[in-house]
Amino acid sequence: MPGDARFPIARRALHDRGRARLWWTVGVVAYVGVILAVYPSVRNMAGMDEIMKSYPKELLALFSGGRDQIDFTQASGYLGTELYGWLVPLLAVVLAVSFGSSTLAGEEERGVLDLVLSYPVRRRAVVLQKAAVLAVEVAVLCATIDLAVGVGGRAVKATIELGPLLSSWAARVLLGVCFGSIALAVGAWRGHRGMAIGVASGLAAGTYLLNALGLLVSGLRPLRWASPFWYATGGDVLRDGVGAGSLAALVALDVVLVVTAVVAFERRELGT
Amino acid sequence: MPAAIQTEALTKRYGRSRGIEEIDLTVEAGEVFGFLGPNGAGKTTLIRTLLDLIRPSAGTAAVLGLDTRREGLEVRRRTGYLPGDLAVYDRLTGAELLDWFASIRGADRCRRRAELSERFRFDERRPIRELSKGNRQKVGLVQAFMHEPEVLILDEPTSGLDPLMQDEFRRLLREEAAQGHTVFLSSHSLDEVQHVADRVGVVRDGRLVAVRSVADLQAHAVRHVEVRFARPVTPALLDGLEGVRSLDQPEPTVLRAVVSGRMGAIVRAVAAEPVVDLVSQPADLDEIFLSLYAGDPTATGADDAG
Repeated sequence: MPGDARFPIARRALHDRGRARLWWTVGVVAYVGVILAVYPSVRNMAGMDEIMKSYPKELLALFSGGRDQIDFTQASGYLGTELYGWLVPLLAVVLAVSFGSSTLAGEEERGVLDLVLSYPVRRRAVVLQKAAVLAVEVAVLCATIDLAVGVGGRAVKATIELGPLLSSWAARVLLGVCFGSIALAVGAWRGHRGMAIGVASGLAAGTYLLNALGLLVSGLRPLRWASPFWYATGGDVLRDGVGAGSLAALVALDVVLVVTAVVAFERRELGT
Repeated sequence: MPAAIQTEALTKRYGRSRGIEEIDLTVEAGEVFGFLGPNGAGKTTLIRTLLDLIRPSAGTAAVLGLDTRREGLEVRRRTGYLPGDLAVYDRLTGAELLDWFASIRGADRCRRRAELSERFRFDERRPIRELSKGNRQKVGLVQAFMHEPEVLILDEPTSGLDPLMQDEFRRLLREEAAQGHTVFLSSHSLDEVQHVADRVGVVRDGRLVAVRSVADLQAHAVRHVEVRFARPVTPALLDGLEGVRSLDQPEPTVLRAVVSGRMGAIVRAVAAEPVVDLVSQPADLDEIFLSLYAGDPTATGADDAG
């Protein structure tokens, strides 16, 4: 069955992700199921609000995307803390960094790119197609989670408005693509998968903390704009959504990073 | 018609080691050219430069008259490449991988695929990673030849192939040459290329030290000959014969000689005695190279071009 001749690199990457995509889907749906299943008991738990208020603000901020007030009786408060405040954005980032580092530097280290690049394909096409697959994979993961929350949430009367969910979905995809593109760019520049993972996840961890603690540590507060997490997860995103300005900032950042990866790969001396 | 491959002062340096240094090389269209050298001499470096996988530090390279840097896409469209250390998406079956490769070149251009798979008895149904090294090499050969490229660049193509398939491969190369296609193949052994190549270039420590026709090299070829006799003999039997470079006698019934050129005189001389065994082994590249210079003091190899 000869395939369509267009976008061979993207077709290959999408196909090769198949099995991993399936397991990610199973994993996140199961996790969302557990979080939703315990929601009714948390909502009705007497004194939950007191418990939350007794937590150190720093600790709350760490797990809520940098908020210091959380209302667990609202679905947006509960899910915003338990899922969307930290776990879902981080899952998007982990998936993106893992794909971004293995698809370019990983394939170079395995020696696979040698033969591929001896074919009539442009290097920029290789990077752009792989970046497109990166976006698709993160988008599918985030949509899977949102769908599971939407469907499962009805069963436990934890409903979330569609508008904010959609803009938050877009923001999470752009956030994942941001760190995935950093992994792509470092991999394109140096050809080491480990270095790509290290730099991208180091930057992710650093900017995550910057955003989470920026609200509480006054010295960090003016620097929160430098964290992609601030644009994607700052505020009560499930209630208020993510603004067009924040989305535009993330789009601009992603474009710059992908272009950087293209330039780096065009210049790359392919390792054996 | 432009040369199939032409490099001018092509240089690639990596830090302090490896690489190639000022290589001037012309391979004519329709030629089978053997690129010889020990491992690490720079064969693969030159090949990867031709395909724009790595970029020259200095000098230029052209394939079919196209600059490998500026017109690399067109070069790669008209070239088939077999890497020395073949790595592919090995979870795929042979068929899946070849489908994908064919889709990049355009499936309609890859008319020879089925014929080649059959010819090399390549089982396309099995996942690549379950294949032996020889069978894995076959997928590399099929993808390199399937689109009938004008130039074939093959890095150590017969490694791992069984002797039967090596013969098949040599037949294929002769057919390609007969069609006017150019074959550039690297190897660390003259034996491997002398039956198919018209000319060979010898590379050593990154420099092209000689370019000769195979006929010329064979005339200079050095062999280690050992003859065992049924009774003691004297070295005088072979001493002074045409082509005998050195001679010694480890045992009374054994003579060992280093021979260059034709074997006729030696065979005739030993036939006068009861010969038990005669072993003739080709010398390695270094010895051939040294004999080239020893036998022909005016020879400057390819360096006279540069």
